[in-house]
This record gives sequence, structure tokens and C-alpha cells, in this order.
Amino acid sequence: MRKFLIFFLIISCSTIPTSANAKTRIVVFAASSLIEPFSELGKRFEKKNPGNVVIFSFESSSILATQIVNGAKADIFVSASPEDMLKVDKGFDYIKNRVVLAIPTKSKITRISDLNGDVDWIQCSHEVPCGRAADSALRVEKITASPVSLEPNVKSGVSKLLMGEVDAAIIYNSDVVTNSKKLKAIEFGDRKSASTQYKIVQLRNSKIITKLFSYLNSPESLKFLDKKGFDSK
Amino acid sequence: MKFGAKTKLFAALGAFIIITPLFALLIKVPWRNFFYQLDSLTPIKLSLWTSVVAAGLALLFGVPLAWIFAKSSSRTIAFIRPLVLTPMVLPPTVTGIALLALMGKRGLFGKYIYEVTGWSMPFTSAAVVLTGVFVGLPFIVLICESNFRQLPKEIEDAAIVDRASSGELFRDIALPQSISAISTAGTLAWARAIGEFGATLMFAGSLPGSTQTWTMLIYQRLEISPDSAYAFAALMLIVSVTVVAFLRKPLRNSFR
Repeated sequence: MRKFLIFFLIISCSTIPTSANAKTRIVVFAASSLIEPFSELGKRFEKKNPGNVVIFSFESSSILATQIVNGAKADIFVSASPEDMLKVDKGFDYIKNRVVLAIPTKSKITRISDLNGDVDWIQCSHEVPCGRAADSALRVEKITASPVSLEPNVKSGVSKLLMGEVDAAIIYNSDVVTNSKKLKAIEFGDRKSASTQYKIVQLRNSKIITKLFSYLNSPESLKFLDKKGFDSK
Repeated sequence: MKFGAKTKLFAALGAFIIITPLFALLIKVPWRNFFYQLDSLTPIKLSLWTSVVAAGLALLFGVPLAWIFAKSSSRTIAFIRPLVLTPMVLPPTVTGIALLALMGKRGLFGKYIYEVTGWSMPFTSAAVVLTGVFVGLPFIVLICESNFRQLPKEIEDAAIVDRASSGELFRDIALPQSISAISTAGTLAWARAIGEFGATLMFAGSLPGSTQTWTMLIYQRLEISPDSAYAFAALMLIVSVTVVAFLRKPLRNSFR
């Protein structure tokens, strides 16, 4: 047993450092609305820069900001709202996203005002960016009905709509684009109030982190994000 | 009794790992304006009543199930027994998906309920209760089954000689001897139900008044006002520690 343990120790000591030396890890904390496009951009970056691994942590922006304030080691942080970025840094304007009323492709809902009728719908909770955008968009549309649930992040709202538990959900346009085979979007009349400004910041300095930071800001990446339903203008 | 140095060291580390985070939490709590931070009692009330109802239902179904598990030698029972304990090891998200698959608007049963009545369980307090029953039941079964197995055989045999029916054997002989185990089991199921978070969120959603539970409130408060989150978390800690302290003796007895 003891021999086995020593053997195991030697093996683990000799393997861990070499793999860590060979590959540089870059940690990106990003709003959960960025799961699909950022995972793809991360893969592209790894392909262009062999030997580097991009590790993502996707969560609601406010949770990520709290984690960073409490010492989580993030190299780059992307928040879905200026408020959450301010907890960490001033940050730079990044892309925009807007909430829409998402419905299944076959749905009896045709207008935003249908929400006031007999419809089960959900939105994000008031504390998170997608919820704040939904609140201000609904105020403009004079919707008085209440949602059946206030979801803690946009993805749990998306999954409930996809599973058919609700008739409609106020989620990001980018989420509708990702699920365009099953969902379609009804835009809010006032797009400005439905929008949220994403912010980006580089929290630590190294050549490769800077390289990833500029890659995420490159025309190629921004064009890709536009295609995925975000707005880089 | 004397203990070896290594035993003591590891035991101390074990206690340290559990106690220090709780202590750290208590230090962060804004005691000065503690009650001011507890500004919304609705989620607490919801969590209290749903978890009590859930524990009650879990007892109602779980105690007879434990009795059958303890007394039956059928093969079907031997097959079902481990399945009933799965909620203990199931990640909350899996629990949530499973409950939706059964009772959701398009679920196995939920579909028909919705077609006939127009009602569906997700996003209702009933969903919070069902989640509690699901995660609490295994505790009832586990504790009560081991208790029923350890009941003195002589009393049971004497009752059989006196021609007690099988129902009477359960109701008049086994149950009165098991009060302490049953109350322990019920309390643990209650504690498990009130602490549930992930599965409830998936299955019941979160809306103040109907489905936003105490744990959900803590999670959401962390995003806007950590002080308030600490206060609500500390209150939950106080409640659960009180319950565990209250339970210490019966807990020891029922696991013996």
C-alpha cells in the first residue's frame, strides 16, 4: 500500500507541472448570455494560439462580480451591465444585447400586449441585467400582468421556455438566435429601453491575456457576435 | 478512553472543516441592524409551511414504505429499495429535470392533468412541496427501516400468538415503539426540504409569495445586498442548529 502511494505521488508530481508548463490557462469570467458565442471564440483562439487554454466561467454578471471582488482569479471579465462591472472596475463598452419576447415557433402569441392576457410567461429577476432590461421594456409597453416566475439568470428562463413549461419568456435576442429552430422573437417597440450595455475589462497583464483581450475586441469576433444576435455598433 | 495522536489530529480537522465556515458566516452578519436586514418574511413563511407539509407527507408515505422494506422478503421490494434512496445522491438539477419530466406541462402525468384540468404544477407552491417530499422521503425510509428491523422480536411474536392482524402489528406494536425514530426522520426530512434550492428553482421557479423560498431569497439578495443575504443566511443557520441540538438525543438513539 505504502509503495503504491509513493508511486502514485511520484507519478502525480511528475505529470502535473509539465502539463501546466506546456499550456497556459487564461481564465475568462463572462455573463451567462455569452455561453455559446464565447465558447466558440475560445476554441478559435486556442486553434490560432496553440499551447493556450481558455477557461470560461459563465454565470450571471452580478454573481461573477461578487466572486471577483472576493478574490476569484479572473484574467478577463465581461459583464452584461455597467452596474455589475462597476463593482470590479470601470471597464470598457463592449457589445449590446436586447431582450425580446421569445415564443415557440408555433404560438398563439403575436404581440407584446398579449402578455396581459391568459399567458404564462417568465422573465429574469430584478437584480440581474436581463431582468432590469425586461423591467424597463415592459414599463414602456404598459404591461401590468405578472410573470409566473422571476428566474435568477437568463439561461434558466431559456430552458423553461424550450421545455414548454411556459408560453413565453423575456430573454436575450442572442438566445433566440441560438435556438432559432424552436424559438422566434417579438421585438419590443422601444429597443433602447430593452437594451443592455456589456462591459469588458482585462484584470491581469500578460502577453497572452492581452492577445485574447484584443481578439475578443477584433472585427472578426464582433462580426461573429453580431451574427449571434448581439449588437456591436 | 484514550485516543491516538493521529486519530485526534484528523478528528480535529474534521470538526474544523465543518465549524469554521459557520463561524465565519456569523462574523460577517450585520448584527447591529440584523432585524432591519430581515425585511421580507414572505419567503421564510413559504419555506416554513411548504417544508412542514412536505415532511408530513413524506412521513405519511415513508413510514409504511419503511415497514414493508423491513418486513418483506419479496424480490420486487429488494429491487425497489435502492431506487427509493436515489434522491439522496441525485444532484439537484437532475431532481428538477426528473420532476419536470413527470409533472411538467408536457410531462408524463402532467400532460394529462393539464389537458383535463388546465392546471399544471410548475410555478406553484405545490411544486415546492412535491420537491420537498421527493428529497425528504429517503431519510424517512432509511431511518425508519433500520429502526423497524431493530425492534425486539419477542413483543411482535407475543402479539402474533395473540392473533394480532398484520395491520395491528404495525399500528399497535411497531409504531408506538418507534416514536423517537419517526420524529428524528421527520425532522431530517424537514431540514432537507427547507434547504433545497436547485431542484426547487428548476421545478417551481421563483416568485415572491408563491414559490420564492428562503434559500432562493438568500441567493438573490447576494446580488444586490450581501448584508441582507448574510442576515437571512444566519437566521437559517440559527434555525437549523436549534433543530439539530434539539435532535441530538433521539438522533443517537435511532442510529444505534
